Formats: sequence, structure tokens, C-alpha cells
Amino acid sequence: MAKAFIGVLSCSKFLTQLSLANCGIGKDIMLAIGEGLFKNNKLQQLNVRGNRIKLNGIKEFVRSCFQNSKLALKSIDFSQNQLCDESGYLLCKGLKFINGLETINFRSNTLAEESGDILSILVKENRSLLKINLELNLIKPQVLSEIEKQCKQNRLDQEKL
Amino acid sequence: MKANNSVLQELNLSDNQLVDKNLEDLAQVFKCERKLSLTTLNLASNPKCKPMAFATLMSSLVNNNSVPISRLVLNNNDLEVSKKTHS
Repeated sequence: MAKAFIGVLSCSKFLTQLSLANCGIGKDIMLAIGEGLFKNNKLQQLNVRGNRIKLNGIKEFVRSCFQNSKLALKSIDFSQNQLCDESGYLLCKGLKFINGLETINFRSNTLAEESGDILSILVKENRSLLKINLELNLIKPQVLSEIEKQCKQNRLDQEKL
Repeated sequence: MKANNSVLQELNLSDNQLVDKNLEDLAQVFKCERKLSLTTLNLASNPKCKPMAFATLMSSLVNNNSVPISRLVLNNNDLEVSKKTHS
């Protein structure tokens, strides 16, 4: 199964949306998705909502964010997984390098202070970010408010263009 | 299974009680057809299909320019191979 994901993401010239919600995905497949994205320049939407993804599965995804400058992701949905604060922090370090990213869904994980802090920086640096869903996490309301405010500003700036 | 509609763009087989053989047949069609117009393939909620059948189907799309699928939906299927049954 892992090889199939690596193959389809590395080689497909057409795939722009991949939806894998509630598929029981854990470490192995998530590592394969990350590895497949290393050479991918087509995928725009990745939905892995409601799986079992945690820190040990996101390493390759983050590496692809760092090293694949042609990554075309616009929307990622990691909601309802098992992402801890460290996972969120690591993911955001990678997401910083995806230029056209517009929406992030981290709803219902256990992201906390470090993730909140880096997200508030990310949304200021990456002005393409228009919506970040952080409901049902452990991030302070004040930080959530700052992030939402900046997203709103980014949307206004986009409308002006 | 033979595809005879070259303009079919969306194939929605979600919640259809598909079994492994159906996915294998579909993979065979993708490998053999010279040109399909299929852009969306929805196979969500077919819990009888095993991860290997999905893997076979996905492998048939690798390096296959005849099937221009841009949207692949596999929601609500068990894709993680169980280490217990695999060993």
C-alpha cells in the first residue's frame, strides 16, 4: 500500500485532489504520502481527516515541504488526528515553505502553546493563508484571536489584488 | 469489464458494497484502455475491499497518461495493512 501511494504521488501528472478521510492511516502510509510528495508538483488538496496520524508519521511530509519548492498544496486537512503540540510545531515549520497554501485544518487535535506561537508567525509571513481551523485544540484564546485576525487581514489583502 | 464511454468524466462508486475483484477489474480497465476522460473517481465507503485491492488500483494509475484522474476519493475505507494479518 505504501508503494502505491509513493508511486501515484510521485508520478501522476493529473492528481490534484486526494481525499483519505477515516481510512485508518497511521505511520506507514503517512510516511509514504510524505515521500510521494517529495517529487510532486500537482497535488492541491490533501485530506487526511480522522486518521491516526501522529508525530512519528509526519517526518517525510515535513521533509518534502522543506525540499520540494514546487509543492503546489493549497489546502491540507489534518483534523481529528493524534497530533500533539510537537507535531503541530514541526508541521508548521514545514508549511512555511509552501508558498500558495491557503487553508489549514487542524481541528480536534492536541496542539497547544508552541503550535499556536508558530502559527501566529506563519500566518503573518505567509500572506496566502486565508483560513486556519484550530477548534478543539489547546491553544490559548488570545493566540487564536490573533491568528484569526491575521487570516482576515490576508483575505482582505487578497480581495484588493 | 470494458469501458465503452470515452466521455465519462466522473465515476462515483461510493457505498456500493464493492469487493476486491471489482477494484482489480477496474485496475485492468485503466491499464488496457487507450484513452479515458475520467477525471473523478470516488470509491468512498466500500469496506469490503482490502488495502491490497486499493493498492492494485492505485498502481494502475502510476505512469498512466490514458486515465487523467485529478480527484481521487477513498474516504471511509481501511487502507492501513494490518501487521497482524500481514505477517
